Amino acid sequence: MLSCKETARLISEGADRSLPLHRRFALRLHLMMCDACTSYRRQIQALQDLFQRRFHNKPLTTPMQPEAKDKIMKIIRRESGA
Amino acid sequence: MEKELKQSKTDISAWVGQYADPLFAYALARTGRGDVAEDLVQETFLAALKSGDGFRQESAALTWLTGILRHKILDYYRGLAKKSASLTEEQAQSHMDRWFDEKGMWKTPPKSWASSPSDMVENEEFWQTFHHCLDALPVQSREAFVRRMMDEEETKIICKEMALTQTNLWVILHRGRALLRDCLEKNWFMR
Repeated sequence: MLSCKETARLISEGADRSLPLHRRFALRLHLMMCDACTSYRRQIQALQDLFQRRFHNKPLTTPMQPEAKDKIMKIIRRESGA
Repeated sequence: MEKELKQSKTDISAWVGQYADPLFAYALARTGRGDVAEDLVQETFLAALKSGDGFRQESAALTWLTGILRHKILDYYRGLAKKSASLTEEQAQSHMDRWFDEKGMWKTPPKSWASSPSDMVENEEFWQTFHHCLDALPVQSREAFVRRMMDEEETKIICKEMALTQTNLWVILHRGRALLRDCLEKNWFMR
């Protein structure tokens, strides 16, 4: 029987590799009986989905300040010794 | 030599006009700070200028620049660890151990949250909190998290670049996710 501590670790590990069958079975068994770990898993998954959407599906389109761009242009002109 | 440099200067200036915005947005999403993102984009263009003939195919310029920027972002996070008093991996682990009793049962089980993560994609106040939590992670957990969740690197590549075994990496990523969840619960979802 898995402890909650081991279960939390396996929930994360399952996001990084396909768990061996016996681990998957033990995880499912624990989750069937444990509300706390079920909430934990739901929250971890919701956060993973959120990160996925923020960093990949829907990238930010905030433009850079024009002053910051001008500064880069100036530095490049200076650095290349124009 | 001089002619070459002049040529690349023209390219780079054109690239600033073309690519500064997407690079800035990329850096902003990953660092959560406008001033830091501006500096990193500036460093990226300077590195591109200095690498001179390191790049030739115009079609993939943004990909190449993003690759440089990605490494600058990782460097930024490593530098942050030296400046701030973030927990060591061991301290973080013993902090996490206190969430459980001696049998490994939750002592402080996850609370039910007042709002849903799925509503937070464009809530900039939330992402400020997220970045405070990310900055507070121990250094390896943070780097592993950035590589895995932000850059979607394969675990094999992360292991190689960070000199970790697979088992080590799984534990370190677990630590990162668990501490982020805990920090976000305390500072956002339960407030």
